[in-house]
Amino acid sequence: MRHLFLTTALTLSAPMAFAEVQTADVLATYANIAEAGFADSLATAQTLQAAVDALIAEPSAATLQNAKDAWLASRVPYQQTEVYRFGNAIVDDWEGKVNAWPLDEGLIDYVDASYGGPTDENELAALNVVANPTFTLSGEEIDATQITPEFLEGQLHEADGVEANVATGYHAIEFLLWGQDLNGHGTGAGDRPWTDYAAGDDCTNGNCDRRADYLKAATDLLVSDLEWMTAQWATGGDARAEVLADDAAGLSAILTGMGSLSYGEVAGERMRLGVMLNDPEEEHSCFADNTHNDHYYDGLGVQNVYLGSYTRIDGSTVTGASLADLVGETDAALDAEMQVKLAATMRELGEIKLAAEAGFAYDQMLEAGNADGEALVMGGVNAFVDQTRTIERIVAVVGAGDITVEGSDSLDDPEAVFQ
Amino acid sequence: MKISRTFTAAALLAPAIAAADPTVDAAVNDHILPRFEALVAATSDLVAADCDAGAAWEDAAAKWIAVSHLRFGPTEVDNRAFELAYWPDPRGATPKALHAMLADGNFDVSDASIAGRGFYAMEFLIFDEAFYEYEGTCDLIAALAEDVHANAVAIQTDWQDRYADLIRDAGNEIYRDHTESLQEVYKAVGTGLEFTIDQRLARPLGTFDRPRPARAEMWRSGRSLDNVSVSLDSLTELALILADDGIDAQIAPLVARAHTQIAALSELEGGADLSLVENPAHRFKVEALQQALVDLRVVLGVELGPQLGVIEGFNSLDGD
Repeated sequence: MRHLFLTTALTLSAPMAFAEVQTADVLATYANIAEAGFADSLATAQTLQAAVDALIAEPSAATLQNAKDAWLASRVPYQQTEVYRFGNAIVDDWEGKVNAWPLDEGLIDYVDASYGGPTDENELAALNVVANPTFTLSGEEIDATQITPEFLEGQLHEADGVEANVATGYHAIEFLLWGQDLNGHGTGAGDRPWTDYAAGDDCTNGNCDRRADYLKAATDLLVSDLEWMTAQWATGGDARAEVLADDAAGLSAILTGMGSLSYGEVAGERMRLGVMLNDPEEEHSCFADNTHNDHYYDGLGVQNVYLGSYTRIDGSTVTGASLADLVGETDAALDAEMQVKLAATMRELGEIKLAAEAGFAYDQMLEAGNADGEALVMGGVNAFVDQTRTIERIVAVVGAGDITVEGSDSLDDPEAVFQ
Repeated sequence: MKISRTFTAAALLAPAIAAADPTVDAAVNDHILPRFEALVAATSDLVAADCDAGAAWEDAAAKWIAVSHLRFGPTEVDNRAFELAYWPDPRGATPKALHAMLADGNFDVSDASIAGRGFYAMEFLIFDEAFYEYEGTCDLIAALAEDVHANAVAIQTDWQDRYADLIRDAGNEIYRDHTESLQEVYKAVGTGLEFTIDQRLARPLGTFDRPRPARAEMWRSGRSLDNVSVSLDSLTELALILADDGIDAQIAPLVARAHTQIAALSELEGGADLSLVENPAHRFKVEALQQALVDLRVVLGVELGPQLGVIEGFNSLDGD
């Protein structure tokens, strides 16, 4: 990453000796769940890919709806893999292409006048590449006549060094399927007409062929990115090998992922900030209004890796020796505390999800002065923060640790500084 | 520490009397409480300054920066600290919120978005010409000053009445033992340094080819460099309370190195607001300052944590 990237990573120096549960088995379960989760993400993305192909071949309200349904289904397994991000560099370095957020969607396609134009932070905020086959970037002429996966990945994504220039991944696809959500704090998601993909005179909002090219390229890229990541966790893959190579480092990866996702990322960046800014755009899936599910499945992912159990999209389960077993063997009370808190978080996230599904949209929860909405979201935030404290206690029990900070040579190699 | 058998037995018979950890006690008495007291005094002056708030705002903003690493307990209740300070603001929410509030003429700020409140919002109103044209700017400055002061008082009162004893004594649901309260204070130093390295300096630095001076903190008022200095002084104060003599000796030269860079930068055109990141001849001085702080962070992580017997754990900056 371009900026100094300082994420807490917990380095466990001396895992405790455990009588029955083998750390290697716990790590194997962790890798097995990752492999299954990414494989499920891949399978559902391939379903999405087929639905997108059908939409482009025969645009209609029905084929657009099928593609939306496929996108929503694809988020269920993917969000459960987010717990693998912060502890595993191989996932974290890759994740930005797949799930980057928030985005200045005007980069991609037409937006409402209320969106505004270029900003201090982002000159390309309203570029609209669908409508502009060539454009200028930092004085350089860019050829976008062919919208290909290579163009999206190599030139448009994070163009001009701006992270909000999200050109690829789930949320770019989400925008191309739903369009902007112009309902403010009201109910309802984005309402892109299927005719945005229609041929000839039926085409609305112009450049339907280029919009289709973009959707196709972004979806194909998502599938190939997920193929790559699934392979990293398969037997012989690099991510699996890294986790299994060292007991202490492997446990550190699990706990770092659980804590960083719970606290800094979901509770902080994605949930609390939205409530405090009262901004309906501060929704993780703001076009599709799927944010309640994003949070829910993030929370479930954390619980999965602790309990060592994942329910696959076909209903089968991946289970094995777990961190819960390991902690419980040494400190049964601490294990119970962790399990209770994880369950409490899932209940809070479940309340947000059920309210949203029953008609109280996440946008409404974020509105200034909506006390019930704030209480719902903050219930989730507080539960995530609370479970992070127990994760820290587990770090202390599983092995006396110290800290390393990623992303800077001098920090990654502290010894070098003193030479 | 060895506890005598007699003492242990007495403790079992007597009702539990919590004992303060001396290091945490010093951090609370000599750093946390006086620093929040200074914030309350400065925000009181800010309220009194009314519309002519430039100098009073600068002083109060500096006092906030000096406590901005103490993000636990009272600052987190009711989102108080977020209402005092929303930055960085990558999507430009602050000017948007202020334009909307001024257009509506609604200055009841207590339920407004955090983007339209606190020190960073006030900076726009006081230092950005785009806000001079509104009739209500002066009234909004006054309303925000009141809001800021109320939050500062709420934090201070909460520290005095509740949280100081909680963290000193430990043995409660928040801090089960002194290791956990010590960890909280230690974590604040690391998080504060991380924020300066990763946000206050890395944001304007951008890349060599694409420096980003408009992403500097409080560049409109020219406080960007001074904020780095103020924060460093406050973090050093806390670190020295926590550290033993051997680690003090390692911290001091690194802090001196950073201050040498700050002094050199402050002499230069574009130093105060860090806009000299665009000047290839001077940019490296900002990078050198950043490196001194990175080296300091390493000493704290490698030496101070183990000395205290605590891990840093997770902080709110983890994540993207």
